[in-house]
Amino acid sequence: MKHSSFEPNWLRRIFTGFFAIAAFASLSATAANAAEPESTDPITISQSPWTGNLITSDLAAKLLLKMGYNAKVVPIDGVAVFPAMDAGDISFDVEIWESTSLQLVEASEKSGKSVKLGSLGFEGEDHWWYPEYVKEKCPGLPDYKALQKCVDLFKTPETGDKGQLLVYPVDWGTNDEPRVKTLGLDYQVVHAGSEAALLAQVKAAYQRKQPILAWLYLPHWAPAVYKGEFVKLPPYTPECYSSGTYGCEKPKAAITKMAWSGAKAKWPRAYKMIEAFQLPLADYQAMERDVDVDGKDPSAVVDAWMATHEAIWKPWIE
Amino acid sequence: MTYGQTYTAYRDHTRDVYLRWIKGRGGLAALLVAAIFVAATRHVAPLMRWPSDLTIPFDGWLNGILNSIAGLDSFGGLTVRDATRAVGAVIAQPAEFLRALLATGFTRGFGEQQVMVFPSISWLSLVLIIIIACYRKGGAGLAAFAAMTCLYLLVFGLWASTITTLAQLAVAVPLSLLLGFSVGLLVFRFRSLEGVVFAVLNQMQTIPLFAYLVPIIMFFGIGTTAGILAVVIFAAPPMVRATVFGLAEAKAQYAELAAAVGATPAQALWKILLPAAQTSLRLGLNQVIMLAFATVILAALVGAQGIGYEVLTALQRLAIGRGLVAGLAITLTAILFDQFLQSKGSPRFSGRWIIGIAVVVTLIPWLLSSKFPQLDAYPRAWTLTTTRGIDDLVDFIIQISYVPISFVQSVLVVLVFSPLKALLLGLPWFSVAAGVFVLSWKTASLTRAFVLGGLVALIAATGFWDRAVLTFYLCFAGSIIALLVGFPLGILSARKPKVGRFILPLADTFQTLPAFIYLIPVIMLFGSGDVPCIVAIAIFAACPAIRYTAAALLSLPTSLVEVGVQIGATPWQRLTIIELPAALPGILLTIAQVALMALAMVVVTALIGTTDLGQLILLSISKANSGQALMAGICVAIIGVVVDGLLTDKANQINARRRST
Repeated sequence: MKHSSFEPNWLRRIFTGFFAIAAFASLSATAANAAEPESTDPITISQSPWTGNLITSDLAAKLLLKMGYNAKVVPIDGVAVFPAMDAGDISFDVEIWESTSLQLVEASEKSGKSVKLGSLGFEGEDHWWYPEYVKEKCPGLPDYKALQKCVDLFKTPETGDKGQLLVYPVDWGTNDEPRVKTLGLDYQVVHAGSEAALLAQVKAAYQRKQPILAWLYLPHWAPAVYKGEFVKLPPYTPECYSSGTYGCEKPKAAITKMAWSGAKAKWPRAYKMIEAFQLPLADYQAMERDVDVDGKDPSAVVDAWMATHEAIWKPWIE
Repeated sequence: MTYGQTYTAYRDHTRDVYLRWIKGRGGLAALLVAAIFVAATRHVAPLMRWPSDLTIPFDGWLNGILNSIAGLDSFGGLTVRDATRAVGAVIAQPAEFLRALLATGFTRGFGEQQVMVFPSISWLSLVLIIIIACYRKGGAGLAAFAAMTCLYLLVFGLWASTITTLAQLAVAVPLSLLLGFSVGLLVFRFRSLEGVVFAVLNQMQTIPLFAYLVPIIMFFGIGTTAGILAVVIFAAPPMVRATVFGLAEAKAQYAELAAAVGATPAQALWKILLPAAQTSLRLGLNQVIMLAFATVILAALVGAQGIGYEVLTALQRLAIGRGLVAGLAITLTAILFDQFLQSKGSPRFSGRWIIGIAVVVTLIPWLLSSKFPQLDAYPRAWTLTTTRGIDDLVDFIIQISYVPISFVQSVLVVLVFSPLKALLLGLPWFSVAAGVFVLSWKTASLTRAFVLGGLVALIAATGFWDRAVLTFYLCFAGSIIALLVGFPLGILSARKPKVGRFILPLADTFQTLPAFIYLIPVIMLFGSGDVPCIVAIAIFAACPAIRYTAAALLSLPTSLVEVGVQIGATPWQRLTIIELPAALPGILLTIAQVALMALAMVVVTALIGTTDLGQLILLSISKANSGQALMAGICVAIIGVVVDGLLTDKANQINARRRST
C-alpha cells in the first residue's frame, strides 16, 4: 500500500513551480480543465475509531482522490476532532452523531470556525435493548411496564435492590435518570465510560446468557449480531422533553457532516461533493456488517462498494 | 535555677510525659482524637463540604489563560500559535522522512496520479539489517529474537504501522533524552530548583493526557507532531530524575577527586561526573524507551498513525484478539529495542566488513524490488489476518468464569468496597486536610504541613471534592490489591534470584503493554461498577509493586542479611524481624510508586465507567471545556503529590533517624 506522504519542502516547491508553469501553458493552449483541483494542499478527513466512520471517511477520501484532490484520512479521537477542525487541521468530518456530540457541534459552529454540511443520509435511533433469552423470563416485554415486574432479573451487587440499566457515557446526554423516574421503574442508571465498555458488557452478558438491559443504537452492528429486542416506551413528543420528564422514546438523532470554515473557499468542488455525500442506510449497514461480522478489511469493503455502486457516487463527484 | 530554666525544664517534662502517654496508648488515643474531631466537623456544614457559592473558579481562569495564549499577538502579527506550529512542523519532518524511507517511499502527486519518486527500502533489506545489527551487538540470541519479532510483525500485517511508530519514536526518544538531560543538568547545577521541577514532573506524569489533549491540538495541530509531543511529555521525566540522581551520587564520590586534580567545574562535570553517572543515565534511557512505547496508544488519540491506532481501533470494535496481537507487537519491539541498546556489542565482525554486508544486503532486494513487487511491500496475501483462536479462547474464559467471578464480586462489593466507599465519602474535607497537616508536621516540617494540607483544601475549594474522594477510593482499593499481589512476588524475586530473573523482566515488559488492551477483557469479566476499575488499576500497579519491593530488599547491605544467617534465624524470622524492618523506607517508596501508577490509571478507568475525576475530565473535554478538564487533571495530580509527599517524608524521617543513631 503506497500513499502519498513526505516530500521535502524544496522538492514540493520545485514541483509546484513546475506545475504552475505547465498549468499556465495548458491554460493558454486550451480551455481550463474542470478536473483540475483548486488547491493541492492536502484535504484531511477525520477518522474516529468506530466501524461506521472507518468506512465513511475512507470512502470520502477515495472519492476526493478520484476528483484529483490531495485527500487523506487522519485517524483521531472523536472528541479531538472539534478543536482540530476549528484550527483548520481537519477539513471535513463526514459522520458526526449529534445524539452524542451535540454540544461540541454547537460550540464549534458558534465559533464560526466550522460549518455543518447536512445529513449523511439517515438518522440514528436509540433504544433500550434486551437479549431474546430475557423475554422467556419476563413475558410482558417488550412493553416497558413489564420491566418493573422483572426488576429482580437485572439486579447486580452494586445496584442493590434496583435493577441495572446500562447506558451511554454520561457526556452523551441520555436523560435516563429522569426517564426511569417518570416511568416509575426501580432501576439505577449506570453509565458506561465508553462505547467499547458498553458493548463489551453486552457481548459478555450475551455469551453468558446473563440478563442485561442496555442502550443500543441503530444503525449499528450490535443489534444485528446479538439477537434481541427493543423495549417499547411511550412515543416521543416535544412536550415530553420540554417538560423535563423524558418519559418517552428518544427523538431520532441527526448524523451530520461538518467542514472547516475555510474549506469552501479553498476546495469549492470538494466542498460540494461532501455536501452531496449521502449514503443509503442499507448500504451503510451492509458495509458495517461486512467489517464487524465477517471480519473484512474496511478499506477493501469500501473498494468493493465503489466498484458496484458507481450510480450512487458518480453524481456526487460531478 | 532561674525561672526561665525552670520553665523550660517543666515544659520539657510535661511534653515528655504527654508524649509517653500518647505513645503508651499507641494509635488508639490518636484514633479516638481523630474520630471525635471528624464527628465534630461533620456537623459543621462548611467544613464537611466546601460551600458551593464559595467555590473558586479555577477552571474559568484556566480557560481564559489558554484562550488568551492561543490568540496572543506577540511579534508583529505572529501569534504564539504560529510559532508553536512552526516548531511542530520541524519536529515532524525527520519522522515523516524516516517513514517514507523505510515504509512508504517518496511519492509525488496523489490519488490515481500518484507517482513513486523514490521507493522505500525493501522490507527484506530492513529485516536483514536489523538481524545483522542485532547479531553484531548482542550475538545469536538477540539476532534470533530480532528475526522472530520481524516475522511476527510481517505475518500479522503490522510491519508498516510499526515502522511508522518507530519513525515517530526515533524523534520522540532523543527529544525526551535531550530535554530530560538538560533539565536534569539545570536542576543539578541549581539545586534550589529541585522541589519545583520535581513537583512539575510528577504533574506531567499524573495529569491524564486527555486533560491536555485539547491544548496540544490547539498549539501543535494533529498528527505526527502532536503524537510525538504526547510521548515526550510522558517519557522525559524519568530522564530528569536519572540525571539528577546519577550526578548527585557521582558528586558524592568524586567531588574530592575533582578538586584534587584541579578540574574546572565544566571539566569536573563532563570528564568526571558524567562518566561516573553512566549506570544511572543508562537506567534513564531504559525508562524513557519503555514509557515511550507504552504511550504510543495515546499518540493515536491526537492523530498520529501507527501501531497505537491499530490497537485502539481493534479494541473499539471489541476485536480482542487483534488488539492483543497489535499490543504484543508494541511490547516485542520495545524489548528488542531495549535489549539492543543494553547489550555491549562484540567484536565478531570488523567495522568495514559489516558496512559492506549491510550495503549489499540493502541494495540487492531494493534493486530487485522494481522487478519483484513482493520485495517492495510485504504482500497482503502472506499475512495472517484472523485471530479467531484468541477470540475463541477469550469467549470461553468469559463463559466459564461467570459463576465464580460473580460470587467473589458480590462478596467483595458488599463486605469491603461499599463500606469503604461510604466511609471515605463520610469524611469532612476539613478533617482530611487537618489529618494531612498533622501527619506532615510530625514527619517533615511546618512549612511542608501547610503546603500539603493547603493542597487538600484546594481540592475542596474547586468543588470537586466528592469526585476526588471517589478517585482516591478506587486508587486506594486498587493499590491495596496491587500490593497484596506485588509484595509477596517482590519478596520472592529478591529471595530466589532464579525466580526473580523470570518475574522481574516480565513485570517490566508488562508495563509496556498498554492498559487499553486488558481494559475490554476486564469489563467483559467484571461488568460495570467499581470492581472492573479496581481490577484494572490493580493490574497496572502490580508491576511497580513487584519491581520496587524486590529493589528495596536487594539494596539492603549484605552484612545485614549475613547477620541473620549467623544468629541462626529461620528464613521467615530473617524476613520479618530483620530484613523487612530494615527495608521499611524502601517499602514506603514502593507504596508511593504504586499510588502514583494507580492515579495514572484514573482516566483509563473512566473509559470503563466511573463517577470520579476521570469521568469529569472526559465529560469536560466533550463539552469543549478544557479549563475544567485541566483543573480536574490537576486535582488528580494533587492527590498524587499529597500521598507521595506523606510517604516520602516518612521514609526520609526513618532514614534520618537511623543515620543519627
